[in-house]
Amino acid sequence: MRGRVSGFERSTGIALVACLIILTTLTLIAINGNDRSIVNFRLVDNQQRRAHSFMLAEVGIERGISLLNEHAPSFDPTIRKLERVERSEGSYEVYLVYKNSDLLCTENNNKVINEKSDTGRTQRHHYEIVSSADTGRSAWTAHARAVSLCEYPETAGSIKVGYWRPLRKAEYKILLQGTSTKNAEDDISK
Amino acid sequence: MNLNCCQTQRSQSGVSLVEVLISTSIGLFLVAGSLSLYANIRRIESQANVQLHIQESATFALDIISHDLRMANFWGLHNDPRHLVTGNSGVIYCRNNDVTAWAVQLIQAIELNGSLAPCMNNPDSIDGADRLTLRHASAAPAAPDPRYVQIHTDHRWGYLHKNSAPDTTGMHNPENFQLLIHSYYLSDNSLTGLPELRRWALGSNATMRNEMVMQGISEFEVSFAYLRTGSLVWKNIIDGHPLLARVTLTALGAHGTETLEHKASRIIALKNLPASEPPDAPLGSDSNSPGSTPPT
Repeated sequence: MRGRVSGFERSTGIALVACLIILTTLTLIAINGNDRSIVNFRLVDNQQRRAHSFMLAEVGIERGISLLNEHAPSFDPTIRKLERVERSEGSYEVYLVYKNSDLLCTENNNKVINEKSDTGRTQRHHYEIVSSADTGRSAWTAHARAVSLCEYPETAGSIKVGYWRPLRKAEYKILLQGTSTKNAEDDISK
Repeated sequence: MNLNCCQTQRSQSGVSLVEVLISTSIGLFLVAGSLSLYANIRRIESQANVQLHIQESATFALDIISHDLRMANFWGLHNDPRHLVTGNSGVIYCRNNDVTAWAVQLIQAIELNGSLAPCMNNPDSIDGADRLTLRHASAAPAAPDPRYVQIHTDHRWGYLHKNSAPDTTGMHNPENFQLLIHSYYLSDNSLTGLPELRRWALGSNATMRNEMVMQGISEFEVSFAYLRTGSLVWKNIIDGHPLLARVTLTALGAHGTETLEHKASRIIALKNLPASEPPDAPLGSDSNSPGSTPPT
């Protein structure tokens, strides 16, 4: 009777150790596989976020152009926040950054230019519409699109769209520094 | 009593030969199955890793070319190359040949297979693959540096220079940018034996340098979309002002003795090219633009 008990105890130990080894191995394999699928999933997710971020920044630029077509901005050297939109896939912010002005607007007919020259209101004002989009997990993008318009009341809504360029984060921060940031409501509809 | 006990125990704990054989066979069958499954999983996983790697290579190469294509025809503060004076660029070299005339053809911001520049006739370039040259300014302003060919420009006009102190006379709020010229082609002269995507890039001392962009690229094809009578038409040539570009690459990777390949394609909006033909307004034709030389 005693021998049977001791034999039973010995075989229970081996089974336990064997089971533990097999379970540990299976668990490690499962964890490893799971880690790999998580990494792959994140790679795809990051790629998707970057693509969304690019698209959202472009949406911001188009929205900025549309807003400028509706309301001419004032011509003082400031930075205006045009819009901030939160969406399920991320958010975007659009700014209008005043760059500078230069000589007469040449694409208008000469008569208008000459008439307005007398009043000194014939400068072309250059802006950059700066749009940044954030879709999380460092998927951040910023683009700038040049727009310019002449300082005539009657040319409101006839903006000229120029170059496009991507912005690095450092440049984006520098661009939005310097002058005070105003909200679009303060000036763009005036 | 003791003998009976031990005899009973011996007969209970033993197994017959048939049982041993059956259990061993089943065990061996299971172990062989598991090992085979494991080996298959490892092989598929390693194949998937190579596939992932070549997909990433293709994506990386497409990212670089996409950035260049989007920026093509960006000249700092405007995107009209007719308003840039190119006379002061200095001599641009490629393989010790003077390629200035080809390099400063800024009017051709995108050039496909049309290059006659000596450095583009590479003996190692793969026949049938496209050669794409893209010209533009750097996305951000750069400090004046006499080692590089740069663009000094305001919103209306500018000029190429190799001067640490560019002349700003007659300019309104000018900024300085780097001139970038990138000529992509496929080369079959690599240490790995796999073809690679290379480019000639304008570098310091006004010299075109040969750079490796990505290893294991076997196909490189570019086509452009034009708006013709209200619909998009794709062509393999530059014919007017394209709206979109489509870049197709095939990336290769070695997995054991077999070669895996991944074909990737991307459509890129050409953001700095005008959507339609620009009005004919060459440099110096209107009262506000400069003459053909920088004002003094």
